[in-house]
Amino acid sequence: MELIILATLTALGYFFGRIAERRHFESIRLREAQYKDILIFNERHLPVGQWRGGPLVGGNVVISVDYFKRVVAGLKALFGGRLTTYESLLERARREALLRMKADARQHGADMIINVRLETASISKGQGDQIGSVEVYAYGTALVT
Amino acid sequence: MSYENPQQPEGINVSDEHPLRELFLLLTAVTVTVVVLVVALSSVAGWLARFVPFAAEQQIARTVGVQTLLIEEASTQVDADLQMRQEFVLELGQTLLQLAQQEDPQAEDIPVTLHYNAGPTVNAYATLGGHVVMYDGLVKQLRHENALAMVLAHEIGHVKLRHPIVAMGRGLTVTVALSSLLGVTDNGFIAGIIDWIGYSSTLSFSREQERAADAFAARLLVAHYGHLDGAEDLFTALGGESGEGGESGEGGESDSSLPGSDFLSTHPDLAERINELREQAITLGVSGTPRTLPWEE
Repeated sequence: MELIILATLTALGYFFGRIAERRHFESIRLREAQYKDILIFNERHLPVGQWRGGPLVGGNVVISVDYFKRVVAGLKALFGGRLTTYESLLERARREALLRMKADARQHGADMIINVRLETASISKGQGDQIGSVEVYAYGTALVT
Repeated sequence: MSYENPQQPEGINVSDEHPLRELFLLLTAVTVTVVVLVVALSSVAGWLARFVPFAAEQQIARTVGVQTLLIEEASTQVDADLQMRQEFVLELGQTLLQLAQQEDPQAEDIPVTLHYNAGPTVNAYATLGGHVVMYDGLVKQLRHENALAMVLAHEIGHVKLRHPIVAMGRGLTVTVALSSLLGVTDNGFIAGIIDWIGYSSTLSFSREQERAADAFAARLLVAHYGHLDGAEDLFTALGGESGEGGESGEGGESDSSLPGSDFLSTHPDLAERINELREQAITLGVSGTPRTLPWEE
């Protein structure tokens, strides 16, 4: 029966999605502590001081929605309200993109990134314009003392 | 001016609510909404359908091509036994029809057309336009005339109580309502759940019709035979055959493929129907000897 297959997909989505999300958040927190010394700002102007170079640094992430999150969001679409399952997913994507940008900046020996911007694009829209995956791109100007 | 990047506290963007709890709440809300919607619409549609004049029902029956369903399966050879059963059944049907009219002369006279199908299917049904179809397969399963009268009276009851048109009215309304709900989502799982809940909630209406037809039949049987003994053979015959209640209310749809529970079945449990029949016999204080069918003697 179709419903059983779909329920299994939802259960699998929940199980693996939950494990992946927990591990990812742990990893994000750990790396955020490691890159704490690289400061990021969305200020456009150079702070006072002596700066060498200013390469563009960036990091991007592509995420896909698991079936469970899609089901919960689909049900939410009937009633309205916060799409909490997508919120946590996009939170992970933004933080991961910023971390990848910081990793890029570290390779340049930078200790500050200014003019940080986040951009997002949906890569694939599934059937019926259902968003399947989203890219989050973080970029900015790295500054080296 | 000094710049810093303080650690952002967790939980601002991410909700603490457990996703399963959220799923559960949402599913409950969907279930309640769909059940309330389906039950309310079914009740209104069923109530309104009763006002459809019988002539209009006959017109609908012609439009949807009920006649083509009723083409009697021609017997491959001249079968004297089959001939005898057919004549007996149709004659008994006519007797019951006349009796039903005498029992309730105030009731609107809804003409019932009896058909005999030589097919082996263990089934009997009433459908739009006052057509009642008896299958030879079911008739052969029965030992007592009383059980045969029970089937006939049950199906006549469906027609007299306007069940086919009411079921159609409900069915169409619920289908339209559910498909407009389904248009909101393109997620197969959600669509499946809505569909399943919607369908399940309509089943209680069809079981209610079966109970009403059973009660109608019981009244007619008491009027005709003076008792209800032998009638429950029908349910044992239905129960014995592939374990599935084959006899059906409208259009000959079969019972839900899901086994067991009352909630998922178009017909009430057979044991429950036998019990109701026995209780009725006890309440009325009637008993007697069932008549054996002529070809079973």
